[in-house]
Amino acid sequence: MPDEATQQPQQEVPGQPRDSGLQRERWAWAIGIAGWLLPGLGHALQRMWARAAVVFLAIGLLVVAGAAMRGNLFTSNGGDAFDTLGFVADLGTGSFYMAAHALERDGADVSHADGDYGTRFLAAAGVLNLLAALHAYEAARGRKA
Amino acid sequence: MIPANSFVLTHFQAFLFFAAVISIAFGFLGRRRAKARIKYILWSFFLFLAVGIGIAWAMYPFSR
Repeated sequence: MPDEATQQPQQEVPGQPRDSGLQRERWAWAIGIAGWLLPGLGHALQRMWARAAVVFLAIGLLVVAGAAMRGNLFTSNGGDAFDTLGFVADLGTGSFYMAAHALERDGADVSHADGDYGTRFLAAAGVLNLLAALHAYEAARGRKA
Repeated sequence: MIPANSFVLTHFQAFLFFAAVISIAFGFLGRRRAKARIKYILWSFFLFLAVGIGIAWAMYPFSR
Protein backbone atom coordinates (compact mmCIF):
# COMPACT_ATOMS: atom_id res chain seq x y z
CA MET A 1 0.00 0.00 0.00
CA PRO A 2 1.57 3.33 -1.02
CA ASP A 3 2.02 5.95 1.64
CA GLU A 4 0.43 9.41 1.44
CA ALA A 5 3.56 11.15 0.28
CA THR A 6 3.73 9.15 -2.95
CA GLN A 7 0.03 9.64 -3.64
CA GLN A 8 0.23 13.43 -3.72
CA PRO A 9 1.03 14.44 -7.30
CA GLN A 10 2.29 17.92 -6.50
CA GLN A 11 4.18 19.17 -3.50
CA GLU A 12 4.49 22.83 -2.73
CA VAL A 13 7.98 24.08 -3.38
CA PRO A 14 9.17 27.10 -1.38
CA GLY A 15 9.42 30.19 -3.59
CA GLN A 16 7.35 28.69 -6.37
CA PRO A 17 3.66 29.58 -6.72
CA ARG A 18 1.06 26.82 -6.55
CA ASP A 19 -0.28 27.50 -10.01
CA SER A 20 3.13 27.37 -11.72
CA GLY A 21 1.72 24.95 -14.29
CA LEU A 22 -0.91 27.47 -15.31
CA GLN A 23 1.65 30.27 -15.37
CA ARG A 24 3.94 28.18 -17.52
CA GLU A 25 1.06 27.51 -19.94
CA ARG A 26 0.29 31.23 -20.15
CA TRP A 27 3.96 32.00 -20.68
CA ALA A 28 4.10 29.39 -23.45
CA TRP A 29 1.10 30.98 -25.20
CA ALA A 30 2.71 34.41 -24.89
CA ILE A 31 5.91 32.98 -26.40
CA GLY A 32 3.99 31.42 -29.28
CA ILE A 33 2.08 34.61 -30.06
CA ALA A 34 5.25 36.70 -29.82
CA GLY A 35 6.98 34.31 -32.21
CA TRP A 36 4.12 34.64 -34.65
CA LEU A 37 3.99 38.45 -34.46
CA LEU A 38 7.73 38.93 -34.93
CA PRO A 39 9.57 35.94 -36.45
CA GLY A 40 12.28 34.72 -34.06
CA LEU A 41 11.03 36.62 -31.02
CA GLY A 42 9.59 33.49 -29.41
CA HIS A 43 13.01 31.85 -29.46
CA ALA A 44 14.84 35.05 -28.49
CA LEU A 45 12.72 35.36 -25.33
CA GLN A 46 13.96 31.89 -24.38
CA ARG A 47 17.58 32.84 -25.14
CA MET A 48 17.76 30.51 -28.14
CA TRP A 49 19.76 33.10 -30.05
CA ALA A 50 20.88 31.02 -33.03
CA ARG A 51 17.38 29.74 -33.72
CA ALA A 52 15.93 33.24 -33.29
CA ALA A 53 18.43 34.70 -35.76
CA VAL A 54 17.93 31.94 -38.33
CA VAL A 55 14.12 32.12 -38.13
CA PHE A 56 14.18 35.91 -38.46
CA LEU A 57 16.60 35.86 -41.39
CA ALA A 58 14.98 32.94 -43.22
CA ILE A 59 11.49 34.42 -43.04
CA GLY A 60 12.78 37.92 -43.74
CA LEU A 61 14.66 36.69 -46.82
CA LEU A 62 11.62 34.83 -48.16
CA VAL A 63 9.34 37.84 -47.58
CA VAL A 64 11.74 40.33 -49.17
CA ALA A 65 12.38 38.02 -52.12
CA GLY A 66 8.66 37.33 -52.53
CA ALA A 67 7.80 41.03 -52.45
CA ALA A 68 10.67 41.93 -54.79
CA MET A 69 9.46 39.30 -57.27
CA ARG A 70 5.99 40.88 -57.06
CA GLY A 71 4.29 37.87 -55.55
CA ASN A 72 0.61 38.00 -54.68
CA LEU A 73 -0.24 38.92 -51.09
CA PHE A 74 -3.70 37.55 -50.42
CA THR A 75 -6.26 39.62 -48.57
CA SER A 76 -9.17 38.66 -46.32
CA ASN A 77 -11.79 39.35 -49.00
CA GLY A 78 -10.69 36.58 -51.35
CA GLY A 79 -13.09 35.06 -53.82
CA ASP A 80 -12.66 31.36 -53.05
CA ALA A 81 -11.23 28.83 -50.60
CA PHE A 82 -7.76 28.97 -52.17
CA ASP A 83 -7.62 32.72 -51.62
CA THR A 84 -8.61 32.19 -47.99
CA LEU A 85 -5.92 29.53 -47.57
CA GLY A 86 -3.39 31.86 -49.18
CA PHE A 87 -4.43 34.65 -46.82
CA VAL A 88 -3.97 32.37 -43.79
CA ALA A 89 -0.54 31.33 -45.06
CA ASP A 90 0.51 34.93 -45.75
CA LEU A 91 -0.81 36.08 -42.38
CA GLY A 92 1.49 33.50 -40.78
CA THR A 93 4.37 35.93 -41.25
CA GLY A 94 2.84 38.18 -38.55
CA SER A 95 4.13 41.72 -38.74
CA PHE A 96 6.07 40.88 -41.90
CA TYR A 97 2.73 40.73 -43.73
CA MET A 98 2.45 44.50 -43.35
CA ALA A 99 6.10 44.90 -44.27
CA ALA A 100 5.55 42.94 -47.48
CA HIS A 101 2.61 45.21 -48.34
CA ALA A 102 4.83 48.24 -47.80
CA LEU A 103 7.67 46.75 -49.85
CA GLU A 104 5.48 45.86 -52.81
CA ARG A 105 5.13 49.37 -54.09
CA ASP A 106 3.83 48.40 -57.53
CA GLY A 107 1.53 45.59 -56.41
CA ALA A 108 1.51 41.96 -57.44
CA ASP A 109 2.22 40.76 -60.96
CA VAL A 110 1.68 37.05 -61.47
CA SER A 111 1.58 37.26 -65.26
CA HIS A 112 5.16 35.91 -65.34
CA ALA A 113 6.98 33.12 -63.51
CA ASP A 114 8.79 35.42 -61.05
CA GLY A 115 5.51 36.72 -59.64
CA ASP A 116 4.26 33.19 -59.23
CA TYR A 117 7.44 32.17 -57.41
CA GLY A 118 7.12 35.27 -55.24
CA THR A 119 3.61 34.18 -54.24
CA ARG A 120 4.98 30.78 -53.15
CA PHE A 121 7.86 32.41 -51.24
CA LEU A 122 5.45 34.61 -49.30
CA ALA A 123 3.17 31.68 -48.45
CA ALA A 124 6.13 29.46 -47.49
CA ALA A 125 7.45 32.23 -45.21
CA GLY A 126 4.10 32.33 -43.41
CA VAL A 127 3.86 28.57 -42.94
CA LEU A 128 7.50 28.40 -41.81
CA ASN A 129 6.85 31.12 -39.23
CA LEU A 130 3.81 29.26 -37.91
CA LEU A 131 6.01 26.17 -37.55
CA ALA A 132 8.69 28.21 -35.74
CA ALA A 133 6.09 29.78 -33.41
CA LEU A 134 4.74 26.31 -32.60
CA HIS A 135 8.30 25.12 -31.91
CA ALA A 136 8.87 28.07 -29.55
CA TYR A 137 5.57 27.33 -27.79
CA GLU A 138 6.51 23.68 -27.31
CA ALA A 139 9.97 24.64 -26.06
CA ALA A 140 8.39 27.01 -23.53
CA ARG A 141 6.23 24.15 -22.28
CA GLY A 142 9.36 22.04 -21.87
CA ARG A 143 8.49 19.54 -24.57
CA LYS A 144 11.27 20.48 -26.99
CA ALA A 145 14.66 22.07 -26.65
CA MET B 1 10.31 50.21 -51.10
CA ILE B 2 11.59 47.79 -53.69
CA PRO B 3 11.56 48.86 -57.33
CA ALA B 4 9.54 46.63 -59.64
CA ASN B 5 11.36 43.73 -61.29
CA SER B 6 14.50 44.40 -59.25
CA PHE B 7 14.91 40.79 -58.24
CA VAL B 8 14.74 38.37 -61.13
CA LEU B 9 15.70 34.71 -60.70
CA THR B 10 15.75 31.85 -63.14
CA HIS B 11 13.63 28.81 -62.35
CA PHE B 12 16.66 26.91 -61.08
CA GLN B 13 17.95 29.82 -58.99
CA ALA B 14 14.54 30.21 -57.32
CA PHE B 15 14.52 26.46 -56.69
CA LEU B 16 18.00 26.55 -55.09
CA PHE B 17 17.17 29.64 -53.03
CA PHE B 18 13.99 28.12 -51.65
CA ALA B 19 15.65 24.76 -50.88
CA ALA B 20 18.61 26.42 -49.14
CA VAL B 21 16.56 28.78 -46.95
CA ILE B 22 14.04 26.14 -45.88
CA SER B 23 16.75 23.52 -45.24
CA ILE B 24 18.72 25.87 -42.99
CA ALA B 25 15.58 26.80 -41.03
CA PHE B 26 14.60 23.14 -40.64
CA GLY B 27 18.13 22.23 -39.53
CA PHE B 28 18.22 24.86 -36.79
CA LEU B 29 14.69 24.14 -35.57
CA GLY B 30 15.01 20.37 -35.70
CA ARG B 31 18.45 19.74 -34.22
CA ARG B 32 20.44 21.14 -31.29
CA ARG B 33 24.06 20.21 -31.91
CA ALA B 34 26.10 21.89 -34.63
CA LYS B 35 27.21 18.65 -36.28
CA ALA B 36 23.67 17.25 -36.32
CA ARG B 37 22.39 20.53 -37.74
CA ILE B 38 24.89 20.48 -40.60
CA LYS B 39 24.03 16.88 -41.45
CA TYR B 40 20.32 17.64 -41.34
CA ILE B 41 20.70 20.77 -43.51
CA LEU B 42 22.74 18.96 -46.15
CA TRP B 43 20.42 15.96 -46.21
CA SER B 44 17.31 18.13 -46.40
CA PHE B 45 18.83 20.26 -49.17
CA PHE B 46 19.79 17.14 -51.13
CA LEU B 47 16.26 15.73 -50.76
CA PHE B 48 14.70 19.00 -51.93
CA LEU B 49 16.89 18.88 -55.05
CA ALA B 50 16.34 15.18 -55.66
CA VAL B 51 12.56 15.37 -55.31
CA GLY B 52 12.29 18.60 -57.34
CA ILE B 53 14.44 17.35 -60.20
CA GLY B 54 12.76 13.94 -60.02
CA ILE B 55 9.29 15.48 -60.38
CA ALA B 56 10.56 17.68 -63.23
CA TRP B 57 11.89 14.61 -65.06
CA ALA B 58 8.64 12.74 -64.47
CA MET B 59 6.65 15.64 -65.92
CA TYR B 60 8.93 16.11 -68.94
CA PRO B 61 7.03 13.71 -71.31
CA PHE B 62 3.81 15.67 -70.71
CA SER B 63 5.32 19.14 -71.03
CA ARG B 64 4.97 19.40 -74.81
